Amino acid sequence: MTIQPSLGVDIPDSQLTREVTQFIRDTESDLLFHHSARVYVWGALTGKRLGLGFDAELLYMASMFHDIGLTARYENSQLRFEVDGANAARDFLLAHGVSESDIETVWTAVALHTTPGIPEFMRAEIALVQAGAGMDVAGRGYDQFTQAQREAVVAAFPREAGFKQGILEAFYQGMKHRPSTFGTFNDDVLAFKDPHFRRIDMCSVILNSPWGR
Amino acid sequence: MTSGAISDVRIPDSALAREAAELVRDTESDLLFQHSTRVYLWGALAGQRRGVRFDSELLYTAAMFHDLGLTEAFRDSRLRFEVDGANAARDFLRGHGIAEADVERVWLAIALHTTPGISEHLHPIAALTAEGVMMDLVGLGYERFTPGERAAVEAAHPHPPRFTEDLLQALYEGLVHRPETTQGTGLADVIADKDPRFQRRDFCSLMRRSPWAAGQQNAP
Repeated sequence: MTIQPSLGVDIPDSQLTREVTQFIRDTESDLLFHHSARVYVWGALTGKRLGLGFDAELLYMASMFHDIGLTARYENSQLRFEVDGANAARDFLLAHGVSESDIETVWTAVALHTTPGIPEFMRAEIALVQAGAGMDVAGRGYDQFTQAQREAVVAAFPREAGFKQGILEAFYQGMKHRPSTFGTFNDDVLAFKDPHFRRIDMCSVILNSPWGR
Repeated sequence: MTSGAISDVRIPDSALAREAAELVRDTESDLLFQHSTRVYLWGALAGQRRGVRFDSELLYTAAMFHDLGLTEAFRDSRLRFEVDGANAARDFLRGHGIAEADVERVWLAIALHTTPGISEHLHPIAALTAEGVMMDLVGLGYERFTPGERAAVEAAHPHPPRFTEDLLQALYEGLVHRPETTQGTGLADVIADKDPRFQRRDFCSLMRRSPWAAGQQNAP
C-alpha cells in the first residue's frame, strides 16, 4: 500500500501493521477495509495539522479495527459493535505482546469512535480515530483538508461509487440483530433501513420506570 | 450526612468526601444533590453485591460531580454537560493531590455516564457510576437491589414527589443553550420533549448531504 509521498503521511511499516492489514483485509469487505485505511490517513493528517503528538502505529491499529464489529463474525453479539471491535483489537494486540496501556488506548479509541463530544478531550489517538471516521463517513472537517490531500487519499484507497449506501447497508447488517442502539447515532441507521423500527425515547424510559415517582 | 450504613455501604467519611459534598451541595439544587447521593449508594451497593473492588472516595466524587455541568456555572459552556462535570471533578481531585491515573478514571466515569453500553467494560468507577445513574433515573437493575436496600436508600435520600418531571426540567435547563451537544445521544430526547421545534440531526441525512459525492471522489 502506498500513498503519494507528497502527502507526508504513511502507513507505518512494521511486522505488526503488516499483520493487522492482512487480517482486516481478509475479514472485511473492500468497502470497509478502504474506509478504515482512509480513517487512519484523515486521522494522521489531522494530527499533523494540529501538531498533536501521536503514535502512528496505535492510530493505525485502532483505525483498522474500528468497524470489524460490523462483520459477520459478530452476527450473534449482543454488545455494541464498537465494543466488539475494541475487544477484537485488544485480543490481537495482547497476542502480539503490546503493552497494557497501549492496548487500553486502542480499545478506547475503537469503543468511542461513534461517541460525540468526548474523544477530542482524550489521548490523541482516541481523538484522531473519531475525527478520521467523522471525515470519511459524514465529511466532518472536509474543508480542513486540501483538494490535493483529498484526491491523494481517495486515489490510494478508492471511495467506490455507492459508498454512502454501501456503508449504511454495512452498518445496518452489523447492527440489526443487536438489542439496542438507544441513545446513539446508530439508531438513525436502523430507522432509515427499517420502517418498523421504533426509537426508544429516553423520556418515556424515565417516565415508565419502576420508580413510582 | 444522615444515611448511616446501608448494608455495609456508607458515604465515605474523609476530608475529600466532605469537601466534595459541600461543594456540590452549595452549587446544585437539592434535587440534583440527593440524586447524586443516591447514585453513589446504588453504585456502591451494586459493586459490593458483585464483589467488585473499588475506591469508595473516587466513586463518591464521580457520583457527586456527575451532574454538576447542568448548573448555572456552565450556562455559557458549549461542551457536553458531561464533559463540564468531568473537568470540574478533575480540577477538584488535582487540587487534592489525587494521582493522575485516578483523576482520569473519575473524568471518564463522568464523561461517559450517559453513553450506553461502554462504561460497563471500563474500570469499576465508570461501570458503577453509570449503573447508579441508570438505577436512579430509570430503575435499570431495580430487581437486583433487595427491597431492604431500596427502602433504606429511599428513607435516607428519598426520590421527591415530582422527581421525574423536575429532573427532566433540570436536564433541559442545563442543555437548552447548547442543544447541538445532545445530537447523537439520549439527551436529544429531552430537548425534543420540551421544545417541539427542535430538529434531531439525522445521521443518515448527514451522510447523504456530506461534501462527499459518491462516485465523484475516485481517483482524479
